[in-house]
Amino acid sequence: MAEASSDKNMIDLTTSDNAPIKVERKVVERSILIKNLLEDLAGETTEAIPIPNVNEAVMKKVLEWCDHHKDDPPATQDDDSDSRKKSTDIDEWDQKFMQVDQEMLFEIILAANYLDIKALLDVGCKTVANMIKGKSPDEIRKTFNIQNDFTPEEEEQIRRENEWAEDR
Amino acid sequence: MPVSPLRRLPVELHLGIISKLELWDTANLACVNRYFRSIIAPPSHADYLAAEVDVWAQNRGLYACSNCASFCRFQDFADDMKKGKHIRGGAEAGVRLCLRCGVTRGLYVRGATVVIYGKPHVLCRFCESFTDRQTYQAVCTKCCPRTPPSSTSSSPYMMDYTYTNERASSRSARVYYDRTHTDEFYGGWSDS
Repeated sequence: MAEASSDKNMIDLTTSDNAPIKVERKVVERSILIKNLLEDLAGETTEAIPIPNVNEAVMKKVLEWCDHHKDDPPATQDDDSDSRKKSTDIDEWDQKFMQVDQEMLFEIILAANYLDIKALLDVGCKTVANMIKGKSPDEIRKTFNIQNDFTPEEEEQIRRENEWAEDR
Repeated sequence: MPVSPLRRLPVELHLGIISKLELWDTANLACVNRYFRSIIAPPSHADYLAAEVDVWAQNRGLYACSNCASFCRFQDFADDMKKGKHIRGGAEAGVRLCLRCGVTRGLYVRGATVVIYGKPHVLCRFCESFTDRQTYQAVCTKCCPRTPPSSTSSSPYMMDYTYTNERASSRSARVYYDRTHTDEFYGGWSDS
């Protein structure tokens, strides 16, 4: 019986580029989307679950995070109380995990959003927030490869409004 | 030109990121391009009041002005707007006005004496600029003797809203939160 249940605890996924991934149920249930799906299927699933919005490389990365965090307590509902503090502290493992190129970073954020993994989405947003912190508008443009589309007149007005934010 | 990967996120995720930023970082992000300027709401006076107690604002000598609904610098305020109930986070910090707004809102009337940098200044009865020239007629050097203000002439005794001669020292503003505002500005106090 133990063997049967352990087998049942493995879930098959198919990514957007048709790669099959086998993953422990507990791990993949960090995704609320998949957790709800599995509950709806009530164990009747034999086919692989398609994940049409996430490719293999990103899915593997996301599952790596899920595996590390599989024993975390479920997200607390009262996380509004400390949102005022705007903390962007990230634990060490997550920081290392997020040391990827921007392409991958934003893919992870999009995947976490789609798969409904709140904690991972939060880490992703904090990582981007930390990349913005303490930078001038020009440095932010350089960091994220964003074009300045203001006219010189608009820019002059904005500069005047935000004169206090300039470091001097 | 490759598109920034940041732009691939939907607006609600951009807003999620922005919600993790402090006022000044949000202000800088709003200056990046039209898109971010359009999704970032201008900060309210309450936002500035909440931010002025932060070390970031203290290090830069920034105080919230209720009429500008923005930050003004240390030198833009009369002394009593930076002490007592008007200190950062003080009971009446919310009604603090910079010198310029104090004049436009009628807090400082012509001829009134206002202490700036520990020195009494008078609001000139003609040109509405602050002067440290103390005469009973309350007239600045520029307007004396009772001639209409000329926009070009300047005098070494004139003190305008912008204290160009003292501005350089705003860099040296230090955080001595529970001491007087002048301590904060000059970065010193006596230990006795």
